[in-house]
Amino acid sequence: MKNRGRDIAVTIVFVFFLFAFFGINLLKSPEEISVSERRKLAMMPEFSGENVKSTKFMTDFEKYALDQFPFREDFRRLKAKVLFDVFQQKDNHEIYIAENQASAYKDKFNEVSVQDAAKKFNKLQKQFLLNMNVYYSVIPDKNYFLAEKNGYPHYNYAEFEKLLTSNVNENLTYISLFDCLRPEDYYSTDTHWRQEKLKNVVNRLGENMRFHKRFEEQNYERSETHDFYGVFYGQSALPMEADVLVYLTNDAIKTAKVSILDEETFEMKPAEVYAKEKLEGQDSYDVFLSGATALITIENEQAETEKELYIFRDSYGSSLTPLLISEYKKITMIDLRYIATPALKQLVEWKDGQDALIILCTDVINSSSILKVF
Amino acid sequence: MLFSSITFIYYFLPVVILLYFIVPFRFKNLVLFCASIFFYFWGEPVYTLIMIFTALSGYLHGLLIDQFRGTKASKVWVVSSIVVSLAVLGLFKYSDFFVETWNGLFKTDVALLKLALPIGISFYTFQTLSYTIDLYRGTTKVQKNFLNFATYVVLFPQLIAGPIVRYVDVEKELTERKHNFENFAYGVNRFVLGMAKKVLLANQFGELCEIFKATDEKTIVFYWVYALAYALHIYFDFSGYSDMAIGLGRIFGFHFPENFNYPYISKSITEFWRRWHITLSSWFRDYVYIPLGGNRVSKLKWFRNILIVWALTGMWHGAGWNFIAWGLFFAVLLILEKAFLGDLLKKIPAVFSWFYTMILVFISWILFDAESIQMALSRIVAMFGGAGIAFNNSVTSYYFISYAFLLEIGCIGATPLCKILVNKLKEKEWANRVVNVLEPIVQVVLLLVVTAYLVDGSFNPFLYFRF
Repeated sequence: MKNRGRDIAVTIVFVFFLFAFFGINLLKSPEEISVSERRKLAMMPEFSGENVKSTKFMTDFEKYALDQFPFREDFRRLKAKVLFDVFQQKDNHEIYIAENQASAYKDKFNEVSVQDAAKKFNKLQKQFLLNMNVYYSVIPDKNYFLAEKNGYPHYNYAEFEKLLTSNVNENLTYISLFDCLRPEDYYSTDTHWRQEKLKNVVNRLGENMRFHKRFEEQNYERSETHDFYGVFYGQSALPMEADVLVYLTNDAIKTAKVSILDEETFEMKPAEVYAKEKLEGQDSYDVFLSGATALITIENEQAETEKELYIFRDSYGSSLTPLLISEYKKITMIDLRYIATPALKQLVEWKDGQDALIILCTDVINSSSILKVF
Repeated sequence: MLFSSITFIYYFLPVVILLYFIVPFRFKNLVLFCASIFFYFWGEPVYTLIMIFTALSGYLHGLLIDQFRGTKASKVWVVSSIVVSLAVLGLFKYSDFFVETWNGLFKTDVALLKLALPIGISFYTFQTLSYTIDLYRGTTKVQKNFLNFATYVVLFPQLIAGPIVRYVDVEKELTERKHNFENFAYGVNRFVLGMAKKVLLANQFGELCEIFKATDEKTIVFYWVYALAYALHIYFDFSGYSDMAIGLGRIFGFHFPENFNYPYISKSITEFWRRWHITLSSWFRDYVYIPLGGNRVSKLKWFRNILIVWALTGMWHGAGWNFIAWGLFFAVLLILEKAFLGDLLKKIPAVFSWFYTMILVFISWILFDAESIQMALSRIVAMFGGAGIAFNNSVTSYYFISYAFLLEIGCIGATPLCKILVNKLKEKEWANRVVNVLEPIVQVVLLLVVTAYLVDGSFNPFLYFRF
């Protein structure tokens, strides 16, 4: 009986473990959202004969049990720790850390989608921008800077760029931004670029689009907020330090009149360039022009020009556009992921002779079916 | 319900353990029966009736076989039990396969039934058959208590993934079994070990296989990495599930047979099949191979028997020609080994015979994992450089490096090295004491890490569900 003590210990430990978590599971109030993953958590499913027969109840309960498990965030961090430090794996859910930056790797680009994006750019030009100065740019994802030199899967960005530009009409001017950015110009825990690091990007755009002032002449004031945890932090449960989120202001930005399309009433409602209440929300990056929005207009009261800009953009455009305000009388921002082109005919006043910029990140161009260009 | 799920570990199991251990012995089978029905119902509400029908059929046939013992009617009833069981299995598992084959051969357009496969049907059908056949042979006694018999058939620890527990294996324990700390602790150890094998190793190797299948950047090296990863995936998946089943059985006082014995150290295919899915091989040996005459017939009939058994083994694993080809692949190898290769393998250095075995096993798994024979052949050709693809590239290197340590753990874990080391250590008094202290700590650490992986993951399917 020399191992009886061990057997008792193993039994007690196992039973305690099982019943402790069972008890906590029963007593714990369910949480509605996961802040780190920026998603709603599964709730206890409805119990009904139909749900049971179709096994929907069981499937949903499994999701509920996973989502509402006690100390879920700690367990997710433990998994990431074991994966990186014990099993020596190089990524968690395809997200990795290199040069103190988290990034999601991609080993191929979607040729069909890139060609489709080019067709959509051409269509936009024909439908709305015929007599305008039309420019387009691609925002590289972080993988472009990090993957190759750190040994992570990546695709050929030069081929990506070549495929896009060779399929876009010559009437549209391509402004390459690939050499304007470095990995540290992006948030370390997020996919997006840092507004305060866009000097080279703005100046490159300005050189092509004939801006009057360079970035460094705009007299920006910095405001910052700490503890910004980006999308990569939550999705991968990686052990990373929070980012500092900086937003820049000058007189033109302060006095700009912003209107946002209310997608329920289809009327424009007033807003701010920096929606500071969003800093406390699920995604602090939404501080820039209120985050995902179909249509925004920004009017510059102090403008010394009558020029207007139409910008077809994604979330990267939210932090870039404030830096372009002082160059235009009015900027119209359109996110084609949330609004279809037929609606733009009524909602947007198109004026000849103005500037237009299509600026999208590689990820959106790789999934161009989400762009509602008809 | 999967063993390796939060619902099973932290909802189902605590409730069942609590109920089981607080009721008097005479109600314990009732608790297990109800728990098992609930366990099955959770995943297959409608098909629960089929499982109960199979149990009822086995029970009634058992009574009839026993009642007419010594008469021709007894034989009729055992044949009837085989026909009923195999008809149910055939209807749900093989009907569409036969229809598709028929349509293909005769250019007809017979409609498919498209019936979903009831989970674990291959396991509980074979278990029920073992009872009626053994009863007819007189190697076991009739079970007159339906609850006891049904508990055997539906017992959740071995219900969906084996091992194939024959009635004689647990006959006595259905009515008399011991519950003590020794059994419980042993069960916990096996269960946690099995869970770690499944969640921490098998799932990760499965993920690597999926990455391989999804990428367009395949290379010769990646084909070999995939072959290794799949071999480890299927081993840790299945043996992990068997460990969990054996462990859970022991917690409730049952001694289930072992199903794996380090198959990847085998030095011949014959040895491999003595170490892999032992309960299935022995089932086919005792209920098909030996009744056909085994090896006590002419050489030609002997080889015919091997071909029949292995075609059936392939079919048991899946309703597809690639599974039958997989079974026949082993049949041919076993015939060759019995004819002359076996003697040769014993004479050559062990490393060569091991290498021979592993290469063939790898090839067999590629056949097993492919959706068609053509796909398997193209993968095998590519492995040996016949597809005109690059030898290596950066994508292959990345995944190989990322999974290298796990693959190393898998390769070492597939051998008895750790077991031998721990047993050696235990021979020393001081080391034994250290192991005794460490064991509960290791349990907790493994449980925490497994839970972390489960919580972080989402869908976590078990490979052997389709059987």
